[in-house]
Amino acid sequence: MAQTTAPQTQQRHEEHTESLRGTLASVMILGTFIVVCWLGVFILFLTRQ
Amino acid sequence: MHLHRYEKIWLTVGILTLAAFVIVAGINAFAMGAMPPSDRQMIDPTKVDQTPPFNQPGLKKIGPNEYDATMTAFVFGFAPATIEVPVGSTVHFRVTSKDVVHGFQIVGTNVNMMVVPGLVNTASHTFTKPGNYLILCNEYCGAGHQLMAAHVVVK
Amino acid sequence: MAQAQMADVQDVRVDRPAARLSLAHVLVAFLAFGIAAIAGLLQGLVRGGVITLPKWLNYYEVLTAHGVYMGLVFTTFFIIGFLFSGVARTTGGSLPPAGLRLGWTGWWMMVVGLVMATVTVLTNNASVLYTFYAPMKASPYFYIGTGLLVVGSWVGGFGIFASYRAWKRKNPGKLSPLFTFMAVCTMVLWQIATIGVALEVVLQLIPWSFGWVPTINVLLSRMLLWYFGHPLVYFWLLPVYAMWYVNIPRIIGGKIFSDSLARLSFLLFIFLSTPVGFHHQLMDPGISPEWKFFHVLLTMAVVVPSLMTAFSMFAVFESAGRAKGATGLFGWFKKLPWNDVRFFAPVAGMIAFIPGGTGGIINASYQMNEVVHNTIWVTGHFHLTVGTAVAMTFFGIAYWLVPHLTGRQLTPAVNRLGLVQAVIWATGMLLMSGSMHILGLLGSPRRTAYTTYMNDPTALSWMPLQGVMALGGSLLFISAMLMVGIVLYLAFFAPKGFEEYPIGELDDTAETTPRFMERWSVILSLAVFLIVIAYAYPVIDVIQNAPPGSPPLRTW
Repeated sequence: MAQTTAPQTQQRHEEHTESLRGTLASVMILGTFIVVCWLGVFILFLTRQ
Repeated sequence: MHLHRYEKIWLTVGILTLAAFVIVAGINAFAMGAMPPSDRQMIDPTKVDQTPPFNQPGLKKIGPNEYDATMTAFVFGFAPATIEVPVGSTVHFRVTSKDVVHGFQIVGTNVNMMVVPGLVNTASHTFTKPGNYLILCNEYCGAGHQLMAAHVVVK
Repeated sequence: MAQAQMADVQDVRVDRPAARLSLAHVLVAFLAFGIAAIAGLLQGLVRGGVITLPKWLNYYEVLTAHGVYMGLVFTTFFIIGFLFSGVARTTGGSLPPAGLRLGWTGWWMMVVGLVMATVTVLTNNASVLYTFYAPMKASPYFYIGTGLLVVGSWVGGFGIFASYRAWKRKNPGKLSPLFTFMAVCTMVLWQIATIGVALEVVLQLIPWSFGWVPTINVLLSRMLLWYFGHPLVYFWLLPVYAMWYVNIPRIIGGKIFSDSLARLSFLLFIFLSTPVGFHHQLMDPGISPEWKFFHVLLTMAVVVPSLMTAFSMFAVFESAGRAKGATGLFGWFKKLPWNDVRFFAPVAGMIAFIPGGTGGIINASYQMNEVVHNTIWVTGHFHLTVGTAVAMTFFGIAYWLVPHLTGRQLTPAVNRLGLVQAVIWATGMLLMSGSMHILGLLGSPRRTAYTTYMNDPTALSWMPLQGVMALGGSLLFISAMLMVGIVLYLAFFAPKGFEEYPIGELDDTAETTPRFMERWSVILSLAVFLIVIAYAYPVIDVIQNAPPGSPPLRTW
């Protein structure tokens, strides 16, 4: 839509970085959940061998 | 294409995690022998009763603490319906179907495989604990599917 | 100025011809959903040991109806209806004549196919479940009916392609609207995916079920089915992602996070969702372990676009929340419109997709599949993915789509009722899928009528959790009936007015999307290349070295 000049874009991106801390934290929690579940079933697999 | 710095971090962590899953599973399977059942031996599903060894399903001792269990799956049961082995036995299950697709799962173990007509499938398990293990069909095979079971008695 | 422009964009209305086409699909979808929910209730109660079915009603007939109606009819009709509406909405409000013509032709073909399949299922002549594994043989008209359903969906897809082409001709050199692009991707993926099942039905099942050939190559039929079976789930998921990427930002008063990344994730799904089918056959004989492992590797790759989507969703939420003044690490969470059912239902679905997707990774982890294969864990898994993430997003869409199409309004009272409906659904799924996951790890099988295996103590120990399953299933039934009632109310009785069709705007800072993303010849070539690598050798091998064939059997 609106044309933006390069310096402005630069500045906006920095703002973005600042404001996505919660996102990074959320996806990392999600990643941890995946790893914990996967390991749980893998351990179950090993104990049943 | 611009990727946000945090997204780069997330995707790197994510891809490395997925790679780790594949590597761990791969090593456990290919180097440590925990392969999924993938037998490629063929058999005519209409002539199972005439084809050795499936013409005589049963348990055969092949070494100290080692057995071959030759089994057939059919609507709605397994032959033999009960197998008895001593604790510590390793049993090699070799199963084929006389009719439709069946499942072969021993509850509480990792023995879990598809029994597809036209093919033989195999899996092995060492029974270290005594008990009465339930073998069940876990693929829908018809009106009596829920009755299709057998047992491994480990003493 | 920008604000005024934006308001204009949100005023765009799907015109009457396009709305009628879309609504025809959506209404059939919810009719099928209602019937499937009744079947689901019966199953849950039988399996939980609460009721026994009368002699004349076969459990597996009910199970087939549930799978076919939920998995094939509800999803396919809803998806095509939704995509048509979104294409019309984002290309100026109407569909070109070719799009409408193809859309209606496809709808009629699907309806005829649906009726044929229904008759065979209800007369107990097709109790083979929706995966119809040979050599169990259903009535040939079941295969022809489901085949027509698929071919009708192709024709509907052609209608979407025609609309896209018409827009492209009118706007040469311009980037297509994001939603339209996603609709095209979804139908491209569907065309590629359904080739497998079409080949199975036309070349194998129909000639064999009529008795024209005596036997069938069962292994080949399974490969062709699962070539289709996995992209099938992405066909369900992509419209959901389209809603999350495009509609949700507007509903929460935010912006689309990134146009190019959204498109990239859809392209990755086209490339990677098909050459992965062997992860459904990890326990099958007749496929070498190396080929299985290769498909596992590609399956892990198809997780990546979902990781991208997860990031985008959180980013949209956080940006919108911070724009409204949220502070701290998770302050934005509270700024989200939790009391808006258009937001709440899809987000409940997103949350369910976290354990759902995790379960999927576990299922596909090669030998670990032995723990869960064909146990009721798998049923729990896809009730979280398609039954919650997909279904609740479809609910969320229906709350504004249906009144938009009929010129009515989502009233505050219906919104409140919708929240209740969504909460009941989510609770029911939590109870049902939760206990299914635990039961599966304990070894309880899927697709099985009530059984104690002649009072086997292990099987008896599963009973309490099967009771919880039945309770969850009953809640789901209540929620489903509520949903069907709400859809009918919104379609025919709600007060007249204008309900917005929410389409997210791009952030001003968004950069232009690279052009290669619409170079379809390159995209399709790469997709075909990956499929050839993953499937050509195993399929040729199983044809040349075919296992002895199987004659047809009726075992129910």
